[in-house]
Amino acid sequence: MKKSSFTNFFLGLPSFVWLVVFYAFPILIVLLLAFRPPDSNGGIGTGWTLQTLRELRNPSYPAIIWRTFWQGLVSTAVCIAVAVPISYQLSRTSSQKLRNTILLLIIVPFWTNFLIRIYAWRIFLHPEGAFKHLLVLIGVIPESTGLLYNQWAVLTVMIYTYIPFAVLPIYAISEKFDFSLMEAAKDLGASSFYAFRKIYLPGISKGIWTAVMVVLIPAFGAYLIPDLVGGSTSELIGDKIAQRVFVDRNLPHASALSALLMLGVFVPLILVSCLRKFQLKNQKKAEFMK
Amino acid sequence: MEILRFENITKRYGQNTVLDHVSLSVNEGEVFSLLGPSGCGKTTLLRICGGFEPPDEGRVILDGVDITDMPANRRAIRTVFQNYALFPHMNVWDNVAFGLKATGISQKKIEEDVPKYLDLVQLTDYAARKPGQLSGGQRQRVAIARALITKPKVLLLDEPLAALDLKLRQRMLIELDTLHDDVGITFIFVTHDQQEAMSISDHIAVLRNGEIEQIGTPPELYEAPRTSFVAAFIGDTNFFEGKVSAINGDYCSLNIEDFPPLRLFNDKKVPVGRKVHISIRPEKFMISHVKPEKTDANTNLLQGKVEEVIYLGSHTRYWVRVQAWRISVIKQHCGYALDERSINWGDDVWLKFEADNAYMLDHYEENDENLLALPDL
Amino acid sequence: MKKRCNRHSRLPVAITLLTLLFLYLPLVMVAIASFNASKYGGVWTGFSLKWYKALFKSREIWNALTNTLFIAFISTFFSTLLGTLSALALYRSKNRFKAIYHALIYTPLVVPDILMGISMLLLFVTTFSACGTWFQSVFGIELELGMTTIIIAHITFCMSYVAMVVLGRLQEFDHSLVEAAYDLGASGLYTFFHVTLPVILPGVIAGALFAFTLSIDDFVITFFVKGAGDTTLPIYIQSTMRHGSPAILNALSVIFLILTFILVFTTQKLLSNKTETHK
Repeated sequence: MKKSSFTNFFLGLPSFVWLVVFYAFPILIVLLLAFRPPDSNGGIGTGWTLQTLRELRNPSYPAIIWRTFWQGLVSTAVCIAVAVPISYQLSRTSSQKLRNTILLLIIVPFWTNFLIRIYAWRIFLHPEGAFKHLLVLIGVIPESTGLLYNQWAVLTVMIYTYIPFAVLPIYAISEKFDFSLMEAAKDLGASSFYAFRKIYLPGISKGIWTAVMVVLIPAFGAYLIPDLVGGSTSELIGDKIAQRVFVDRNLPHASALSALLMLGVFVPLILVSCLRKFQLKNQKKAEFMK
Repeated sequence: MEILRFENITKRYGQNTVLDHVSLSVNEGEVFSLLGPSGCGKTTLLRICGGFEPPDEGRVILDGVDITDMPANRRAIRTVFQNYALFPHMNVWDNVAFGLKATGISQKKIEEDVPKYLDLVQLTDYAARKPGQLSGGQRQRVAIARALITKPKVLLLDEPLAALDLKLRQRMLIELDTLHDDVGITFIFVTHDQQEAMSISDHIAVLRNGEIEQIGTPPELYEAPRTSFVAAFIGDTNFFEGKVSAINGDYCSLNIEDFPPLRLFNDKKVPVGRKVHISIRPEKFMISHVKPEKTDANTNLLQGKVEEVIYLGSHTRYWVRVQAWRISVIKQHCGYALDERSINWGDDVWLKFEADNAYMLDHYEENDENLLALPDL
Repeated sequence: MKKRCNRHSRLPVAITLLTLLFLYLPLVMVAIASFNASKYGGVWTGFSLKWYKALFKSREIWNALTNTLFIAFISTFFSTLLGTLSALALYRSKNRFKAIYHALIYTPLVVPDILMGISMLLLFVTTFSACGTWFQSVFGIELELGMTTIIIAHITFCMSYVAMVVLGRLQEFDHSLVEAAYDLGASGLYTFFHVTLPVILPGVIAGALFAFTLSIDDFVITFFVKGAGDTTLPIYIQSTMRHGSPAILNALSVIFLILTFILVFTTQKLLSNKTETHK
């Protein structure tokens, strides 16, 4: 026993040290630098100040934060709403081959270069592109409407990017779901939709929670998508952080914004994991009562 | 000749005592079974023996050497795991050769030995297959060959037949028995199935709640169970409670409520006036329509009514009501059953048993009645 | 096993098909455009391979590709090593420390790229300004953002992915195999190299492929920690994209897509072969 935990220590040590130095420690630095003043040549000044935090009261920020928030929520909701029926369909598909093929087709965009995907949308929504021509032709939009560089384009590409993220964890759980439970429910008189709601959804709830986390959190930090397909009116927090770093060279300000984003990341993370723990505890209690 | 001995083995998991001062001794070359219901500690005892878990107290002695603190890979003990634990990335040959390679045996010796053991378990033609391509029975044979090739002093088999279906289980049981005769290595066999244990073992230790209930040969356990648990766990039986009313030499008279006084062999020398529990196996009763003749004083007769009949081909089970008692009876069909007048539900019948065929228990617990196969009437 | 019932709603099928359409329509359009002689995808002016030819002639792209692959190979190697070790440690440990360690490995998977990028940039900037002069006077090397910082960043975010993939494989790993190996007289090291490692190897390779793809894919983190002159393929794509959308990118996209298909297919095969052997 003693010997094995000794070996364990050495197995885990390199990665532990690495992550503390290059992941945990830098996050601390971000939090600390929010209390430093900037210096004139784009570096970090000396001394401590609350000035940077005060600057966060920039009048344009509330709108940006709100946009980041609701775009994250909407894209998460849409992704889950799409991923659940897909997982349901996939796990009910009897042919193993067909199932693997569809899964492969869903994963490929997930693995395809992120920039290539955004690029594809820029081509697709291009003012000179075939899609735009088609829409104008059938009279859905007037010639003057731009498909690109607005928040709808940002939202569409975000959903496009995160759908595979949502499908994978939900399908992983759904695959193990015992579908005879659905048949039992129907046998007892439940409608298909009732059985879907009351039996299937609770059965895959763990997958849904994972999907919420892996979509919502990265969506809060989206930066490249609004930068490349969005316009000046569809900026998100991520863009602002990048601007402060690369344009204004104000690292403390970027830190303060990042700290804000971090709140948006770790609060849901902790919330969801607490909720899971609570559920598990209740489950165990219920089992114990039996 | 003793090969393996457990001395006062105790194992606890937190508050839970899994093994409570278990001591037993296994002879060289025999098949020794650890039998008991799930949770009785038999697998833990096996894991302690294999070196996968240390005991909290007690010693394990192999061939006169204390191996309690010896790691698993240094013990001359091999295990056949319940799921066989064949290495999925190696073919049959490499699986069998593993123990030799791992301990640095020369390639020449390996190439000499592996075919011998593949031949022993009749898997020569399957040497190149992966475990995934074998049937359950074949996998088990690989697991056994893999263990035997390292010439262990003791082979542990953890529920080796549990993963197989019924027909295959019976065949593998015979195969195991033949194999044991061929190699002559001591087998320790863990099972919850009393029939498996009875058919293969030289000795059986019956475990319950981490304690040994009884150790003995299969006939000893069946005919002379020490406790109601052993009597009920191995085979089926009837329990009666009575009071000794008189003693005649080796025999005594027993008063059981509702019964005429019965004569029993008093091997426990129970004094007059003492209560005692007895076990009578169902097949010890003779059942008939006509009243049997009382040949001597040791013959006991009871009269009752048939409440349930289950025909099972070679034999029939009856449950016969005698006042407040319900007695399980088995009748072997030695003759051509269709020629006989059959005993049916509701018939009045006579039961006969000899004084020597009942057995007095040292220890009785009412719970153990639940282990019996009684129909709910 | 699962019987298909005719009374099922068609809705899930429809959603699945529409989603696939949604996922592939833009990619198909790009593929078509890559063979279009016209510079802008709107009008089809004839089939042409000129964009592919231009792509292979571009020195910039070859330079970016070399950098990308160099970074990807090195960071894949180290992240696979570190990730596999940490998966083993996570799988085996049972003490209270495990929860912290687990969070440390798990959270980088969900933390947005931009946070990873900026936090690492700030780490490098503060370290360099704190001990850059001292470092130069002692070792004669000037500390600055560059390939090394990119590689360090890539190792950091790839490691967690490798650890998770390997851990997934380990959790399906039957621990009685290790006991069986000990039981047959094998030492701990022998067991690791002859039993544990071969069994989890498909997971390790899948993890490595995953790390490789992520490294090639990454733009955001690289953008934050790179030095002034460093170009990787994503950086190149982004900067070309900002100056319009030159058609050469169409051809590049198609090649990327084909490579991705092959890579994903191989990984899937590796991860699914366990189901075949266990039947």
